[in-house]
Amino acid sequence: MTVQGAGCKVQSARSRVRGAACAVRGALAVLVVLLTAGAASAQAPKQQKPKRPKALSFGGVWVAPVSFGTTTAALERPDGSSLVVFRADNDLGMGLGVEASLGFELRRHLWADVTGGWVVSELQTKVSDDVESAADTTVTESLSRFTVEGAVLWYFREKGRTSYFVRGGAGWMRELTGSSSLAQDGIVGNGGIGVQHWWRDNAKGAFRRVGFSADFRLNFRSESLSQVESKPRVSPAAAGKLVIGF
Amino acid sequence: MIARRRILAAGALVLAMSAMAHAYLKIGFSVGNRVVSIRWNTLPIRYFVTNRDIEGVTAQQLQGVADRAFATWQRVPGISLSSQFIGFTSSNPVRGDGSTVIGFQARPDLDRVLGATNWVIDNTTGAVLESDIFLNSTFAWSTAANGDPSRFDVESVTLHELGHLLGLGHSALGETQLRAPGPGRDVLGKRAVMFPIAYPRGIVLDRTLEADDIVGITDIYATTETERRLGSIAGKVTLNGAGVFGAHVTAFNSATQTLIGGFTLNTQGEFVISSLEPGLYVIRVEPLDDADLDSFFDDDDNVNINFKPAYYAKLVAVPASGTSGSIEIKVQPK
Repeated sequence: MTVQGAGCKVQSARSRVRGAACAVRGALAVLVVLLTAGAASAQAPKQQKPKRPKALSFGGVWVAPVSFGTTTAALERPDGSSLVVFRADNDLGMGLGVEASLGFELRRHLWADVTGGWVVSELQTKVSDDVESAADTTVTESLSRFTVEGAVLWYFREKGRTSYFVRGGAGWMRELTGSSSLAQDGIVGNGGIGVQHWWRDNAKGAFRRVGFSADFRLNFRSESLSQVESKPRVSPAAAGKLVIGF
Repeated sequence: MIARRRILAAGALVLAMSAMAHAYLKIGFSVGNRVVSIRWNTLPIRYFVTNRDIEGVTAQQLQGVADRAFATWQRVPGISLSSQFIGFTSSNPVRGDGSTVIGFQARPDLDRVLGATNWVIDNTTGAVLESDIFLNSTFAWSTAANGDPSRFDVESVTLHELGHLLGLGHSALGETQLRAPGPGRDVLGKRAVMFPIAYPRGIVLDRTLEADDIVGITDIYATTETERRLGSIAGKVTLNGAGVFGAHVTAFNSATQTLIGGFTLNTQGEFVISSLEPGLYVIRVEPLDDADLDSFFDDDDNVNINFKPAYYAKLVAVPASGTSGSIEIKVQPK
């Protein structure tokens, strides 16, 4: 049997050493051919892919107050019923904060967002019905909530420079008390509806598009420092942000 | 080496601590400038039961009750505690014989005392060397599963006295009213087995530990891992700028709906409530007016009860393995 390859002629089984040397040379030759072919291919003109639109946004967030219900500090009477020492109505006050997002288009009308936020609010417990008639009072503690979320936005309607979207997302949350001595991690999620309007919409430039977006959401949390029950709590929220498209 | 001996005579569970507790309801005593809390350093706690039947309760039944009551304390999560019944003895539960004995004794002279506990301790380390519990057989007793309306429940009172044996003092988590005609007080409600006044005859609610009892025993016998998980609240109570001694401080956790009590323990009005689950707490202060003051303090002449109940203005955050930072609760005179 005779094999012809890259100028090397191998006499089968006559000399294994010589045959091996020729095989290496043959492989190198094939590699060179392949590399050459690859280089040629890279030099071929490519079709320019359109750049995927992105947007950076930052602004303020408002979170509505939410009640976490009433609890009672109680003693046990001899008959097993409760003797209330005091009642505690637990609320999370209105929250204000900031939020920044980086979004990119997944496909036409569908965007993905990564959002970081910081909201400050106040835990409030109104104490009343004291068994020894102590004056009613409201005790408080400030609370910071940091979130990192991923969201999907679907722009379901466009009219000129204005478009409307629905959004849904989920992420991680950390709550810290005012002194930062107490922390609680949890899962957050939200769903809502919003509007975006481009004030400036140029084809070129570093900031091709500049606009504003506003949305209304329902936030929910799996855990919270303020919750007296370990069930998800829903609170309305709204955000308004400056958007820069590039 | 062997220490002072302390008899804690208890009126309907009431006992008089012979020294101030360092933390809220631990029993302790002063050694020089420091306060030493008492605890069992050698486990298991080996105990005997006096081999004497009384009307309605045999020695075997008492042993069974003691066994269950020990087990109730030992089941508290995150602590290291064990006990062992050695056998029956003809000895009475008296101090100084080197044995820990639980038994009935007739003490008609103590007409308001259901039971009492004494210890022999090493007064340099606070280690309990011996402790004895007597239940006053002058009263009628029962071990019935659901209680007997005409008798006191052996298990409830034994659980309380074992709390003392283990190093706990009294809790003030209760409301009472003066009995008319006196003497004595009736319990309106309580939230601690270690409250110094018992429920009426036939009530078996005190067979179950409350959060305050659990925190107390955890404070003494917590494992290292448990200590790392829990936190504390520290602060002081002041009236017109001066510390209030003997104020009852309670911490309420809305998330767990638990009430934990403590006391201000010096003339600066300082207190510490330890072994708390991390979380947010409402802090309430009230005068110690629901039991005899000597149920809580030897130095009861200095206890100030002339102020109005009040709340601390902020929710207090208790971190894991840390303290809330010192808070000051200002109260107003009555």
